[in-house]
Amino acid sequence: MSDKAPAGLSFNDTDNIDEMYLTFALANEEYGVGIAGVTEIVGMQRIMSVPDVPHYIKGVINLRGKVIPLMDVRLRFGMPERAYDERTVVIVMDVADAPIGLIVDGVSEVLEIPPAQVDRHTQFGRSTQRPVIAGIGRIGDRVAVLLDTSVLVSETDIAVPTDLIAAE
Amino acid sequence: MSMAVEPQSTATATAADSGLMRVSSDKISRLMDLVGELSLSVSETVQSPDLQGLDLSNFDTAVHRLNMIVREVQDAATDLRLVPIDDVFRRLRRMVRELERQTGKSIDMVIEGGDTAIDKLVADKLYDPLLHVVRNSADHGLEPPAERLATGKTEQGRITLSAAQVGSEVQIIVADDGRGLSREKILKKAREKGFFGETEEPEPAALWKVIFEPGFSTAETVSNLSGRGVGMDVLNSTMTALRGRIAVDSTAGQGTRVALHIPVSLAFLDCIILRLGSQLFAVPIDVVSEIARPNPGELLAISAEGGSEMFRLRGKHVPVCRLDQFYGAPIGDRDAPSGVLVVFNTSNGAIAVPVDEILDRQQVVMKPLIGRLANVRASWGCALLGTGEVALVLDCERLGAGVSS
Repeated sequence: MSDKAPAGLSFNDTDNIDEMYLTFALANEEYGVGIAGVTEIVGMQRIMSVPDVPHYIKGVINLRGKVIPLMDVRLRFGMPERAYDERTVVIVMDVADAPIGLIVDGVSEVLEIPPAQVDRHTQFGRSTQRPVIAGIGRIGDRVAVLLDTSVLVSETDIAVPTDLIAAE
Repeated sequence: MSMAVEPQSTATATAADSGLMRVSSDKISRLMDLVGELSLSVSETVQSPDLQGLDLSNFDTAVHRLNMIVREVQDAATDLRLVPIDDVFRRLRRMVRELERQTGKSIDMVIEGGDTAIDKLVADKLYDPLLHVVRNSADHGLEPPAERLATGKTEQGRITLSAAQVGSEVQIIVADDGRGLSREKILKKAREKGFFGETEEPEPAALWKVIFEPGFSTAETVSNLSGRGVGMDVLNSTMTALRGRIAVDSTAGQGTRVALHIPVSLAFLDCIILRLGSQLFAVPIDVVSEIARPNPGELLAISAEGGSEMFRLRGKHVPVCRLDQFYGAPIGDRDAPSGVLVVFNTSNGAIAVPVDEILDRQQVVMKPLIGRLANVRASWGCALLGTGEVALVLDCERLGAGVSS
């Protein structure tokens, strides 16, 4: 690491923000989103429900005067719902100029994953539309599923096909 | 950050002489945002749960004064953005001169209430829709001079453009003394386009409204002035964006009158706050006509046509719009059936919306619905309440339209 880096910052000059990912846990899987879109990480807030939104949009929070819709990423992926606890966090992001908060089981760390360590070419999704999985990042012997946040927040149906769930 | 002193120019010198100052709209927008945040944090502070159970008589007096000041600061900040509507009217007057040349008609343009104040943001958006209304009057409304003389009218046609503030709304009226809308032609076209059944005879107000539908135009010839069926559509979408309403009135042979009702300011909204289950809704105060607690027997269930409900109010029947039915999903955590009906005025007539509780009346700061909230129906936006809670601002017009269809 460069000794010119200010104390408390672990990034060095060669770090590229596009290769930095914030990883988080959902059940026992690890996911990642590009750090560039992340505005802040906040603890669970009081959610106010709103009508006329899909079930995975749990409502909105008022974050210092900004109204931010919250998406429960478990429900978005068709995973079983889990009660929020003290580790549950909201990753606040700006996607396509609109704020969105992702409710996840807990954040793990910020990692640099260079493109060479990201497997992209495989068709991970099973449908013809643009997949929500942008790639699989290899970090040592672990992997993180890197998400395409613009697909994640879109209305595209990305729930796990029911036949897959039945097979588990 | 250092403040840059702008070099003195002759323009600023003359402006200073007349007591006027040029300020960029960005600075005013910033001030408006700050005032909004200020009023929110004041409410948050005075409603803090930490204060519960304390003896607060002096505090309450101070809070009262603080709230008064905040309200005044809000009004003063809103006032900064108000401009006379005359700026828009004068541009239209120039346009009418141009129209006189193009149509060969002589037009007497009368302007009333040009000093009516309106939010600069609203004024900037008004020119195009008003232009379409005025063009329609000049092109289709007013008859050619010979035809006017034959029907005993003055040779010169008249278009009156007037503005007046009515409550928290500005009412802008474009009236002409031309031939009026042709019920026959519009009805024929409306039936062709499937707006009405072949034998249906709609009320005049309902019929005139179809001229604002996209792609509706009865003009036989498409001139470069109007008749392309897009103008009225522009009017419609602008009015929706400005939270305004349009009303058309016309008498054959005597003329047409188009009235636009627009809120004076877009920043703050005077609302009543309603609770339904765990959800909060805000409704602009001026659409609420009354609040009622129905007695048994005043709610009438009708099974025909898919089922509906009517509320009997002083001998009249008002359709009931249940929000959970409208949104097609139960509204969270309902303990008891709603006991209060709020009656709203809409251009489709009154509707009654059942709620559990009426909480408060307050000035709310509106936030637009963006991102994943953009598709929420019948809503203007989110309202931030003094308690830090978020309420959905209901658009009663679209709620009412949802009921009647």
